[in-house]
Amino acid sequence: MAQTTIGGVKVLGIAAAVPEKKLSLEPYYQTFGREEVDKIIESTGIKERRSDPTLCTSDLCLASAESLLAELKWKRSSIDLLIFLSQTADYPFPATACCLHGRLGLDKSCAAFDVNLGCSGYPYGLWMAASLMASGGIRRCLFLAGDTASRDISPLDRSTAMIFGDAGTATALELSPNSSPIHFTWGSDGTGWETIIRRAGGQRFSYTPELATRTERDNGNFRAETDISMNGADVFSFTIREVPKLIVRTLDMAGWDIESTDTFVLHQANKFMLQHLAKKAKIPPGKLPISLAEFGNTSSASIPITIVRHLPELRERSLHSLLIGFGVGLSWASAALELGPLVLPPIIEVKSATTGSYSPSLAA
Amino acid sequence: MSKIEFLAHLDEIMEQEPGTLKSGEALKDLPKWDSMTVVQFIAFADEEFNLALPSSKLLSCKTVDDLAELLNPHVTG
Repeated sequence: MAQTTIGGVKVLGIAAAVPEKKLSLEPYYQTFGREEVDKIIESTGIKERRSDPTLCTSDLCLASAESLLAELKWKRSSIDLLIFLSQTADYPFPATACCLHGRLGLDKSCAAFDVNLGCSGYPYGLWMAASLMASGGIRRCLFLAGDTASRDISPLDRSTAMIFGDAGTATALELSPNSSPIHFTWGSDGTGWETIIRRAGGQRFSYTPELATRTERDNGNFRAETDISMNGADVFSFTIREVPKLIVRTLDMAGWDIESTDTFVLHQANKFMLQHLAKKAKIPPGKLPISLAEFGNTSSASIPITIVRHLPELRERSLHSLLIGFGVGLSWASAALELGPLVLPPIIEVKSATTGSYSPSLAA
Repeated sequence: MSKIEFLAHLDEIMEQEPGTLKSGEALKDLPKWDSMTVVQFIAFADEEFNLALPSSKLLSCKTVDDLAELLNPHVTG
């Protein structure tokens, strides 16, 4: 694991948007049986998710960004950097950040690029934003993170069907010479690249109708190579191997301990995993916000959406916050920072895309 | 931890009365040995013995005794 401390950069606000459409788990009673579904709900803590096949991550991030910009009263021309962190981009290329740069009406002097990371992505993205800002030339950054993973799962695969929800978030950062430093820690283990994967659709296995056909796999689960595949046991084993060390290293670097840390916002993987990690790291339940019941696992959006939903006190005051991301890659990262007071608009619900709304078409 | 205690823990993971599982039982004959109990077993090994078992090791086990062997030297008898 590597670490750094960056000063002079402040998080000013966080916004999160989800599709208005809710997806409950009841329909799965028919597929997997009531007993099994209830057992899964009890273990994951997930009761419903948000999912809408007409919305892309970019649409959700755009709604978050617009709301944040309005509350912050930032001039669009004052934004120097736009980062879009997601594994569900609009197109293989151009970068979705470039599309969003156009939709947001940002200035031509603003840098825009994508980062392909998932569950570990939020602290990773903060680190990239803060590093670039500290290196000069950038005063304000809009960091967008989220995924619409629910669009890429097989409803007949119990290892993924009842886990993932969609969300897109926006975080505003500004250079602020007197702000307290942010401590970052990160790591990767690429030998675990297959643990969570959507195998087809890139250049290694280009899309074909055969690869999009669902066939029976392990334990009676059906999925296609274009669906997300997840080895839950290996994710768990990786997490208990790396995350407790990550928490200890980050606290040491920041000079904090469990007691002096106000909140531990962990990537919302599932309740069983979070509670196991909290017990192992001796984090009291009251310092571990959980947003799984409403939104499920929203990948890189899970940390910011949990902050928006469960830490409203951040509007008034600051909290010693430890943000911990881990998962697909395999990859992990953390940020220890004094977060707040923040601009924190309520969670935005985005309606289905309809004719007349933003609707790019295929070339004639 | 004795083998009997270990089997009782395994019973608890599978939500059945302690004493149900016997040494020598094949995992493929246990309907409750599924992806969720595998994760709970990994959690148990971590909590009790601070071991992060990869799933490949668990999947190569054929009997409950093989599972106990994975936890060597923590499970004896």
